[in-house]
Amino acid sequence: MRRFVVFGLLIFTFGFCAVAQNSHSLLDTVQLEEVISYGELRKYQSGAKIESISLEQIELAQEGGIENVLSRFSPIYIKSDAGGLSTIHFRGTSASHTSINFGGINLNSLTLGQSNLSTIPSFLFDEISLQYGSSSAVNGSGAIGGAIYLGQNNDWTNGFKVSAKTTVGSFGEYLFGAKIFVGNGKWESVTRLYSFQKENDFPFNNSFTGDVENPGTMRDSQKGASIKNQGLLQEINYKFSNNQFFKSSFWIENSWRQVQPNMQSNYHYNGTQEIDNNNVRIWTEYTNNIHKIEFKGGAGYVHDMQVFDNNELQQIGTDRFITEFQATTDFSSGFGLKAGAKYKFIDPDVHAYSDSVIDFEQHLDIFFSSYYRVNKKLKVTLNLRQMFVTNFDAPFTPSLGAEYVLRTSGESFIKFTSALAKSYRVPTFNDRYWGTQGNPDLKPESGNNLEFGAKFNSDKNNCRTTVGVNLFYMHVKNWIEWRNFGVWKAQNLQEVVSEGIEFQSNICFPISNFKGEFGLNYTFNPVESVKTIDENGLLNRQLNYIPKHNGNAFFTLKYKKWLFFTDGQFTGARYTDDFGHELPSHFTANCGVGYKLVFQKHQFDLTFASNNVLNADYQNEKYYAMPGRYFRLSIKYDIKIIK
Amino acid sequence: MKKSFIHFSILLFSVVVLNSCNKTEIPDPFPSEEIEGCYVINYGNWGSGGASISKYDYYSEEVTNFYFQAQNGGSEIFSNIQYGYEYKDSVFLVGNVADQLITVNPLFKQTVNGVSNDLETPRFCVATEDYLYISCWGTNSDHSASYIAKYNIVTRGVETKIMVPGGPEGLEIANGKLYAALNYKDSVAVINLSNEQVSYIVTPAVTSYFVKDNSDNLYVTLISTWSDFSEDTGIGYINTVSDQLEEIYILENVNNGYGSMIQANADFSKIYLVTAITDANWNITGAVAEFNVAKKSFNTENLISDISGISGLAVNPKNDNIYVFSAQSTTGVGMMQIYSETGEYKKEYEVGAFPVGAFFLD
Repeated sequence: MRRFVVFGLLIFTFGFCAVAQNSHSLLDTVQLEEVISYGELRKYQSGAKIESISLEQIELAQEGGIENVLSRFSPIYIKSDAGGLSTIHFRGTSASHTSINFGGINLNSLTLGQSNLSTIPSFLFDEISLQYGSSSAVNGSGAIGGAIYLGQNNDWTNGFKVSAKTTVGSFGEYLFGAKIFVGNGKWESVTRLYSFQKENDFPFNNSFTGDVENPGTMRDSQKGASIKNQGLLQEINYKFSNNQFFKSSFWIENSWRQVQPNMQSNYHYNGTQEIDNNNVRIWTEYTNNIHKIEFKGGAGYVHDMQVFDNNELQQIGTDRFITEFQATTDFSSGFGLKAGAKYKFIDPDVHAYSDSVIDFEQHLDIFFSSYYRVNKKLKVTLNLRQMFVTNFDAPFTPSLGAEYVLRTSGESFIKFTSALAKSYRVPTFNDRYWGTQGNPDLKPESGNNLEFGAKFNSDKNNCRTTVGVNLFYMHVKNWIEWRNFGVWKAQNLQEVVSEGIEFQSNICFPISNFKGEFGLNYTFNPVESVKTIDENGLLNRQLNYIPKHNGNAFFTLKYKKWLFFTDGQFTGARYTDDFGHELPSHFTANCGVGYKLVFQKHQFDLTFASNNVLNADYQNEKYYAMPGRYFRLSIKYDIKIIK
Repeated sequence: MKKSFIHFSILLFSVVVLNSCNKTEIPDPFPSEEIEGCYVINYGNWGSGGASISKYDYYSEEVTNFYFQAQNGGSEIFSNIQYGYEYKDSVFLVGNVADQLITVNPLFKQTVNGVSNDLETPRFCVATEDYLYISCWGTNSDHSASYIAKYNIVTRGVETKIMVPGGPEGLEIANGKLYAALNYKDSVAVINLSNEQVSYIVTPAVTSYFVKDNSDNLYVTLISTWSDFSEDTGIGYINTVSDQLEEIYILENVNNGYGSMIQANADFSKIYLVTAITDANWNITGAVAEFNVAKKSFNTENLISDISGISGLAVNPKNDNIYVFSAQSTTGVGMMQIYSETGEYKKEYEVGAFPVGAFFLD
């Protein structure tokens, strides 16, 4: 699969190659790497900031959900507790402002509008890509702050390949996972399955006991925060030819967790609630690139169901049927068009919705994209999207991007990017239909996003170095929040401006037999409400639970079969309420060592790691304990029998 | 040199004198030894703290926010306070997450630990003799295991759980019986305090809170909820001798968002009930309706209207001033608006996060 995509993209990037005809091959190499999985995105979004987290990095944080990967290797703030609830806040936006894409499916709950990242296992995916800023013109409703793309690398296995991993960690943590690739070069079956559980009975310093007879901080241990997640992702793929193939993914996921009590409840512990999520996600896709007009059609089904505290009468679920069709053509190596449509039929099954108000809902997206290479250095793209929703008016959404490549040497170049995009989010089902509080008169949230970026790329001695900086400005109107107006209801409450600077670097340096890699990410992100209908709402102050400063750094060193790694995350102070109370900034660090043992076709990777190695005592959400120093031991086994 | 020395001496003297003046002329007002005032209960953000007490001194017309912290050396309240109740020179604060009963003295100084054993999702309380009866929703989200905890004030422990399925909320003691309004069942539970047997008075809607008249009879709020819709909203009159629901006084637009708010004035000639109006654009504004006890009817015009985000109601027994609380978020500033008994607006103050009510101490 990978070879095919690379081959296809080689043809597609013929324009890029043209640049290389009179220069070093570096540019091709770098750009090709970038387009392996999400070339289509880059092709039509030239000004967008899209970064990938490598499989190597994912494998260092595979225990649990993708929040572990994102918080360690990206500059995005994740608000989380220790009990399996994590939400993403891309560029200061809310969790419902990030779309999380798996094939043609946006994983976000249609009822809540967001995803709990802890229920998206990083083990099942080979690549996680992040698109910063608005991309509603490409991803549809909700992609105001950013988008995440979960990728699986298929390579049309001709033979048999197995990768299995088991991890034992502190506080009752166990992971078992396996990926099994079987194929004959045309047919391919990829089975990915995992089981993860965590007792989460870690000790912590409890300074919120309220014990006035024995005042002060006491040593406590977390109760009622267990997690058990398991999933199976089965792919069946068939290659008719290098230009025509069929891919399908069947993903079944069960996520169960206890609702972590806050520290004061933990001290007075008398039980907690449970949340049980069951998800079925199916996506099938047929691609035909034989003709001048290439086309791709997909269909999918999603079943989401959440049961709170074993109360079957309070189910919250939806069923979705999705179809998508798109056609693309390249008129020349410098000009191409794409057009398509996506249709969704949604059947909610929520105890608090009345059938007389909502029985089903239909969404239809019509989109158009184009790119135009003005010359060898300058490329512009245009995306247009119009969504139609049953009984709801969604806005027309365009985006415009440009990139300019300035070669600085035979081995390096700087890419300047700029993007201007509109974005929107249709209110969630809960916002519009929940009991008597649903507000059918809500307007869609709408945003304008402007950004500029510059990224230096260099490739020397098989070492790739990138250093980039992005400036962004985002203005979101009709921001929806639930507020008390006598009854709690969703309302278009405020206008929010998010702006800032993102710095990202990844520097590779070979030293003798060592190969080192260092990365530094930093975000400065003031986010303020500039207008509100809340009579007592705060204006022109940083939003609650959004840090102004956020950053991380990582360092890996490879020596023969050894791998040494360390990384650290800094999270700036965050307001927790409108009265000015703050959670202080905190810094956590992780480190570990790995050893690779190869015996004929068998390979064993042993990894020992310590998380929060500095034993930081911190809270990511006020009053919720986080674990101190803990340890993990992993064994990964790979075998390849390839013809 | 001599001049510089003199200047320096004067400066030093001034600093010393001013510093000592600071210490003597601006004493730290906390912990306060003044009890009389209105105490506002700010619920905060469920599970995420923010609960506080605001004290309103209606003589000096000053509000002290975070009063509990000020009286307890900066210590927060580690529960979201649902209800406050004064009895036998103690103030009982019923809190959620952590679920506990916090006991403080009338100066709000806490010297003993809160009690959490056998108190699961406590909601409200009422006392008689040495017992505090605390309505608890239990741990089952369907309220099938809800109960009234019988708490001994002297031994500071729950002695008995009286099982009352249906989510008991407001409580009142009348004619030697304990009455429990049920939030998830169209009934009022009646508990015989001598043998703790439970019987029920069927109501046309779920019920929430009581006020007791001068004859020991009860008025209970009748509310409509999503899971238990009813058109017979308003208040019901319960004869506590016969334990019959004798009358229903219909008032539209009472639902579970605000229907729990009912108060009476000092001589029980008026009952105030919070209601709301939804306009054509789905905007909801809160209002306070007045029930004339003598005429047995609601006044046609609301006494107070156009309150956005109404969240609580209290009546000052000293002067019958009506205190209306409002908040649009659980993390932001709440408001306390004061009206005369004729509905005339008097003043307003900022209070803590999500005020849900108040009580008055002499």
